[in-house]
Amino acid sequence: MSTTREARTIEAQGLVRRYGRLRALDGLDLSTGTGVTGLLGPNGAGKTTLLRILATVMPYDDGALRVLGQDPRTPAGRLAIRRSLGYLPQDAGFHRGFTAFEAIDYVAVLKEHTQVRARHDEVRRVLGEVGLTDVATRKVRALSGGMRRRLALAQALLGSPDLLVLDEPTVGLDPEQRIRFRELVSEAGDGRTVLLSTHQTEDVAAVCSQVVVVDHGRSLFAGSVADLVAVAQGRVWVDETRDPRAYAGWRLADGSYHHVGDPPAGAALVAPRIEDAYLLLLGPGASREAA
Amino acid sequence: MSAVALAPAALDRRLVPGLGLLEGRRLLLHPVTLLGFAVWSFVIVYDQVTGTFVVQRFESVTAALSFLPGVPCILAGHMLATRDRRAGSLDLLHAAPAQAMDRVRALCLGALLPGAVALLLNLALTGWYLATADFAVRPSLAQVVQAPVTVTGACLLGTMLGVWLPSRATPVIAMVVLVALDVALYNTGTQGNLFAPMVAWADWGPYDGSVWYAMIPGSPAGHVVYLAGLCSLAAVGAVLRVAERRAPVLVAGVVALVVTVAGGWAQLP
Repeated sequence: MSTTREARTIEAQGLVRRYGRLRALDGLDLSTGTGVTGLLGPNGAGKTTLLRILATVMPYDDGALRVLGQDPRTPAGRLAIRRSLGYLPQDAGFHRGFTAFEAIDYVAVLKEHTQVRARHDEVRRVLGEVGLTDVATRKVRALSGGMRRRLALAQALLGSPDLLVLDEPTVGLDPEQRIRFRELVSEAGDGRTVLLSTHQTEDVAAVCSQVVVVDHGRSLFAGSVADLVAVAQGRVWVDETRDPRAYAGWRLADGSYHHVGDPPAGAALVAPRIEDAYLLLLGPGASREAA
Repeated sequence: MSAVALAPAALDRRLVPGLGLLEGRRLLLHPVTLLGFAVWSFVIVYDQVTGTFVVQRFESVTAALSFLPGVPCILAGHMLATRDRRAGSLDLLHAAPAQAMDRVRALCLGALLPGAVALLLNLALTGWYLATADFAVRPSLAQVVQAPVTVTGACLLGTMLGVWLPSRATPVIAMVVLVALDVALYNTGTQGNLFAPMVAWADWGPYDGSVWYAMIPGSPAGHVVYLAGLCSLAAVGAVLRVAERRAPVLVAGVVALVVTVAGGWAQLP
């Protein structure tokens, strides 16, 4: 039983990855189990580096990491992880001369789907999952940006992997596709581990049971979405005028201003949302908040 | 125990041959390869219609396939080897169990398919000529096999260049250099001629080919071994770039080099 639980988790301690002098990951800790975990952070925070390390695309320089109970530093460990992994990179391209079917079929072969008939059935299944059945014979060059993104998602779903690592999966998707994506990820997170990097806080709020906020290569927050929202409790208010002392503020449709920061006495506090908490974490004093 | 723990520690053995078959089909159906075969077919049919000389017929089965589709196959092999890089798929593919070395091995295996198709076409053409016309000198099996081997070699050379030098200019330069080298070796006399990737064997008289002079002395079987050695060197060169353990590949490279030198020696008169 413990083996099974370990085989579905990611445990990272003090993970370091350097690019020359830059420390893209600077002692990052991460612990996730089954379900959908959202990874939030600004550009350059180290999210993509982390996901590439978890996907065995890139090695790490220091720290300890177990993915699905395996050590990615050993060849056997990497192979075992890759066999149970679905990875959607930030920039996932396919040969433009392939049809949608051929593109997924190619990846399926590389994922050890060697039985032709079973592989083709699996390719059709994942194309159906992302709603691309009708364009299966269309060349990649003729697909829209959103369709290509869904195609990339389809290859990640091949073989119903135990671990799904998705880097900015909803970029380029229209609202309907995003909702469909949420359905897919919710289903995928049932009994499996899904790690989802995104700038879309609404996606995190909609599908993630856990959330990790990363900045400067470190984890600022790890917990449930409700815990993250609680960070902003009592620190979000509305006013008729812009308050310059607020860390962030913007005008709402009704003409009032939504503020995030330390409210003045007597401010009209409102219920915080996930992006309010995210802004507070990343703003001045964010590390203290997380601690 | 989990599925992860129970999975075998080595990659599925059927993966590389299966992928090799798919890559072979892609090489064969690549527009550049198809164009090469189409031009070769046109030339053969055209010669049939206009009438062929004995030397022309002999060279059709010993050397023609080396130029078309042989030379363009360098470009096709290069384009397939650089396909994933150009498409921006490398990150995505790196997370799959099969790695770059497996993909390159599959490409090398795939290179056999255009060569096999070329061999079938050459055997059919040889049979047709034997049944309908005069060869003057009947070509040996080694002479019929050599041009298809160069087709496979061209695909392998393109693959190796694609792995090491993915620039689009590389195959074009390689094609020009190879043809220039071939012509230069032809002009150095019999022994140099035998080291050219393409050898016609028939010694032309006047350019119209109406006069049969002689056969170029040397061993066609030795030449096939020499070409096969070059093919192996190209395959080893391609795999070496992406091999996780280079020692076994280097050993294979030494063997290929020995075969090439032995074949090169054996082909001399």
